Amino acid sequence: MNSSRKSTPTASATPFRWRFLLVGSAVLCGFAAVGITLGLLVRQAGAQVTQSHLAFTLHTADGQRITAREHPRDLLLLYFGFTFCPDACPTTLGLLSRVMQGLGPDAKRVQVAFVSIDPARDTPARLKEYLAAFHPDFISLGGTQEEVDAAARAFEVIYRRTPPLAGPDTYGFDHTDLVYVVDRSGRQIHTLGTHLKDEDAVDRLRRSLIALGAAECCHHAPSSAQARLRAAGVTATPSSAPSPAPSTATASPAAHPVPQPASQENP
Amino acid sequence: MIRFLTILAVALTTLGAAELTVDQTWSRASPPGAMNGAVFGVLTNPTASEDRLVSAACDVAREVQLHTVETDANGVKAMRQVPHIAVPAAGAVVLKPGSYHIMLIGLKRPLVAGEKLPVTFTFTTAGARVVQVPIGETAATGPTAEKCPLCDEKDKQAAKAP
Repeated sequence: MNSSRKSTPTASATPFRWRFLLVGSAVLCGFAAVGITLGLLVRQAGAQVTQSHLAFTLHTADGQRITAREHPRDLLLLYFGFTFCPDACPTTLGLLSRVMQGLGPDAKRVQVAFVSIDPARDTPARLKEYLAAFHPDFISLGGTQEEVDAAARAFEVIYRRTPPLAGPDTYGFDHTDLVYVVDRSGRQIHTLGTHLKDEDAVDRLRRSLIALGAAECCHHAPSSAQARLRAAGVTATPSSAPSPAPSTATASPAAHPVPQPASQENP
Repeated sequence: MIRFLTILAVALTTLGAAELTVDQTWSRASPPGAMNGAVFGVLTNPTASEDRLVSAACDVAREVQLHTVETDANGVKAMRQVPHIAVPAAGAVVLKPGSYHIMLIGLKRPLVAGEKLPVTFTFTTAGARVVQVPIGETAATGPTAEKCPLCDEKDKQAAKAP
């Protein structure tokens, strides 16, 4: 303030109210300039965040490829665990099961996927049976050891094998017990866990779905990969067929045929 | 205030009984193929001296152990066998997911929702208590959050969610 006043040579000769206005507008211009600059910086930072997506490739039991951006529903909820896990995994899968019920029709926009950190014991058949006990739509995702390790690294999941409890086949794992929520752009937008109340977890997902619904309707056509996945549907259980398209206002590829953009992912 | 009086009344009634109790027990149906299970509940010790749960037994499992779960700064959960679970004088311990629990290792048959599981809890002072543990659905949460007059406030809040 003081410095602006001194730097105006005509200040002393100007009537008080003019002086006030001049100083005031100078200050306002200054604020505006700072504001615009900050706005641009924030926007640039935001754009960088949007561009970065998690790098992992996993496969469903039927061999369907799933990546951070290629997944059949609006939200992918990934959980790393093992079926011999006595405490954390059933507790977290139980939470997810209740959350799916809480979502009602929106549950069809959410895909819960269990990534086994114990492929030696968790066969596809065993995983299918195990997950069905929690929810008919839960699927398992797997891959080579490298692929599973890379996915764990992408989410900063830590796991390490522990000594057997009683007998040779009773080893377990210490592991990160969180659920990672990935949106269509391949970004991790939330983590969920048993520290949350059921209704709070439902609320988080519902709000994300509302935000995604709006974004998808107006700005993004589904990529060819997504269209392919949606057309194929989730084949985890017969109950999820035959309408793979989410029951929402989002553009379905069948209703809105779009020119196929060059896929950014390798097929 | 009314809540406080209720808690006090329940606490006094429990103290009147002056005997260690095992209640609000529960377990979950085992998913197909699951080899392990867990039993939860509330151990309440209204007596003037600490007691210890030193073992648990149940014929549905090849082995039964006392366990706890430790969570490190990175959110990594580690399950560990413990030699005993201390129940403080005029206090209680909640066995719950993500914390102390009774671990059923090597299930001989599946845990079926709606059935009851006889479990023997053995304490240093109170001796053996046989409890019929109700088995809930696979995705069940237990009743242990509801009432526990001698639990820490923190423990009560966290009883459902580890």
